[in-house]
Amino acid sequence: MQSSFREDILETLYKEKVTGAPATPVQRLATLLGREAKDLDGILSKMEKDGDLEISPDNNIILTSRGAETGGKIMRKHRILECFFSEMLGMAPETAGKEACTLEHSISDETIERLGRYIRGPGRGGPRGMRRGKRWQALTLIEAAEGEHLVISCVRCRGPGSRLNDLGLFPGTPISVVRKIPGNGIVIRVKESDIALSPEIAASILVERPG
Amino acid sequence: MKIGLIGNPNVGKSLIFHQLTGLGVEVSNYPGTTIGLQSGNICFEKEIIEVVDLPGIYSIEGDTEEERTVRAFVDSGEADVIVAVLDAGRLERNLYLMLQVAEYRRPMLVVLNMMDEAERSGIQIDTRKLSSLLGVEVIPTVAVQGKNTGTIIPLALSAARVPTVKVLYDHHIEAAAKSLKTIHNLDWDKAIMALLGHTDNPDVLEAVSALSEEIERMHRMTVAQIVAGNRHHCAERIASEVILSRLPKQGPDIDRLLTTRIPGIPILATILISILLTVFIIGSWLEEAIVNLIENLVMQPFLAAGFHPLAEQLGTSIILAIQAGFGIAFPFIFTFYVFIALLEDSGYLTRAAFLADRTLHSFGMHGQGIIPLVLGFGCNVPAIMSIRLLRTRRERVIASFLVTLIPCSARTVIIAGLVAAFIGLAAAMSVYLIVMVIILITGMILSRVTPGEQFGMILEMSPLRRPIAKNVLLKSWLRIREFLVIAMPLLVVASIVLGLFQYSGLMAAFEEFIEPFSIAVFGIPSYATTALIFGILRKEMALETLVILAGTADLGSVLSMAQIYIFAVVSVLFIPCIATIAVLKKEVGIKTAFVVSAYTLITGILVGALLNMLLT
Repeated sequence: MQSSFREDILETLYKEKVTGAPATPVQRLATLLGREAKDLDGILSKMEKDGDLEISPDNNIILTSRGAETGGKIMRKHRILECFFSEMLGMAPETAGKEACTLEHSISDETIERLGRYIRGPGRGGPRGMRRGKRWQALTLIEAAEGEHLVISCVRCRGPGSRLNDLGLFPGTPISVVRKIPGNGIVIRVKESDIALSPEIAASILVERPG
Repeated sequence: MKIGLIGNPNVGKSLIFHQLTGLGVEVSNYPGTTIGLQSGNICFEKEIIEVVDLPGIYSIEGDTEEERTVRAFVDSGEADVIVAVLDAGRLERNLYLMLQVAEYRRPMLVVLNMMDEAERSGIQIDTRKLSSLLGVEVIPTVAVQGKNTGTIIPLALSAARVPTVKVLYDHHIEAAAKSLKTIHNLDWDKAIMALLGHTDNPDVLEAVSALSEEIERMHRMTVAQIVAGNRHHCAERIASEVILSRLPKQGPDIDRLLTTRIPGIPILATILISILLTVFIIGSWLEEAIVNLIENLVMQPFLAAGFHPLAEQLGTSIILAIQAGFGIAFPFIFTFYVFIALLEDSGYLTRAAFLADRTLHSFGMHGQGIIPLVLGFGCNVPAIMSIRLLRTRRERVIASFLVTLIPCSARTVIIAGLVAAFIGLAAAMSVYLIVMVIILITGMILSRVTPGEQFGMILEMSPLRRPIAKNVLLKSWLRIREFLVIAMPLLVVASIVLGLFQYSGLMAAFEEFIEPFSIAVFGIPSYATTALIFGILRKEMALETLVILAGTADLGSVLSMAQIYIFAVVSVLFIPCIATIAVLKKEVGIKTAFVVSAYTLITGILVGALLNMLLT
């Protein structure tokens, strides 16, 4: 319980970080997690001791690189599970999200990697790719670096999702990252045209680095 | 004979439209929508041909107002020929829309525009093959040079055909569409549309929901996704067959300068500030010239003619309205539009939107929101009209609040003519500062309290292009014309009302009534508050009325500096002008328009009262 709560905190902080907030006030973290700020004091100071985060005197939390790594990993697991549940198993998005929230803490790295590969193309890849020693890597678009060439594996976006479809952002479409301003969205090239995306949209697009 | 032009945004569709039709363009609202469709008539071989420019869209099946408008237009069959304008450099993406339209089985023609740009980036297209694959004529054009656009109309008349191209759908989709076709007697395009949920018939809808549930279960994808995927696949296949060569893109990356934090953001700030300054300098110079011209050529002779006092009052009011309309609209707003058109046509505006995205997030808006906000500095009326570009109602509501607070050129006239002239430049800047702080606070509060979900920005960056003077002027002219059509009648009516007010002596009664309030709250004489209230009719009229009521243009001799300052701040903040309220009502509904007006009124009074306490 304690460790999954810690991971939830890191994931939330990581999401804040990639969408542009350099530091998160304790109060905001509490709101995002649906808790009282005073309940967090104990665990936060323990996490600070462990080197996951730093708390500034004015009660702002800053993730360390160690904390960001864990947070990023959990977020990826969440997205892949959510994608699997809603796209493959046809569950309602809310249920898929909730389920992913619980399972993201217990699923192993290897399982998530294989699951990600399965989503990309059921029935192919898995073992063969592994044999060649190429590591398949799923990441959200927001984590991609400028200049990278990627392939979309899953678009998990409510509301404006159909606009993404119309612009040609589909599982399997090759894209490249034209410009990235940390915390300020991303420009990708799809089918010869440049599309600017807000960070929260980019965070809902799962991509992979072709091996 | 009617021809509809359809295409993605930024493919040169409007340019082709203006080349075909010239200046005689009508803007009309399509029944049931607020989207204006531009149409123009041409005479070709003794036949009158109406050309309609449809709004630029990426898909004909979406839910935005533009998409619905275009869908209704294509579906109604009122166009005899549909001309699809495609960007040769982005053929694959553009074909997606063309394939959707092709399913409506109307006679079509394909214009492959921007051939020069495609060639420069090393793309060569076999147009003959494209034509045979699609089953319609394909005209390669370079619209900016007017190359080949002359053949569009003759070919539309003689060679438009129903396209033969057919998207190969997934067999489950095909089967579902076929069963809808036979059971409910639908056409193929109607069956596909019904599968995507676009149908009014409850029986069909019920059948569709059963069918699509089955398909979604089998595919683990929504029907819309499968259909879009199939169309993209078809577009990809056609594009790969007709594109002969593709060289990797070369050349310096100017975008790197414009879309990075440094120097991108300083460049953005410099561009915006210099536009505002230039507009102000050119505007005030032109304003003086135009106002003097009307004063000398119309007003003086009219007053000298010696009409009956009532007639004279009415005449003066109308002349004043026209004088103000042209004195503000032309010099300030037109100059401003020219710059905006330059920013648009060069492709810079989308880069500005990308850079501003993060900042606008804190106000609950997105990058696209920069367009109405920047337009607001010219005039609130077109700025409010442009909030249609924003996708969600939440964004539109927030934008309508913020835009009405932005000091438009009329309010700039007050700040410059009053504060800068009688107190000093620093004081004038401080007025801007106060307004900006209020806008920031309002935005932050609104982003918390406005209902609705917040989605991110998805915006195509238009390629950097050299703007063409003729097109920039044409665009600005069409916009200023739209503005004059909306604002001019309101100006004239408002001016007449004010004139009659003065004539009948109601003004004096009103002043007496407002006196205690005026002195207690704002610390300014009652005639100044009366002038403020007339600012509702036209913002800069507050200043004009003040001069008239004070009986002297040297306001420094009758009002203290604090009074002048308070007057300026209140008139800048409180209540948008009547033309703005009118467009607000049209764009966001009467309730929001009322709330926005009430909010600005209360803010203006509060800030005025606060300043009065602080300064005196």
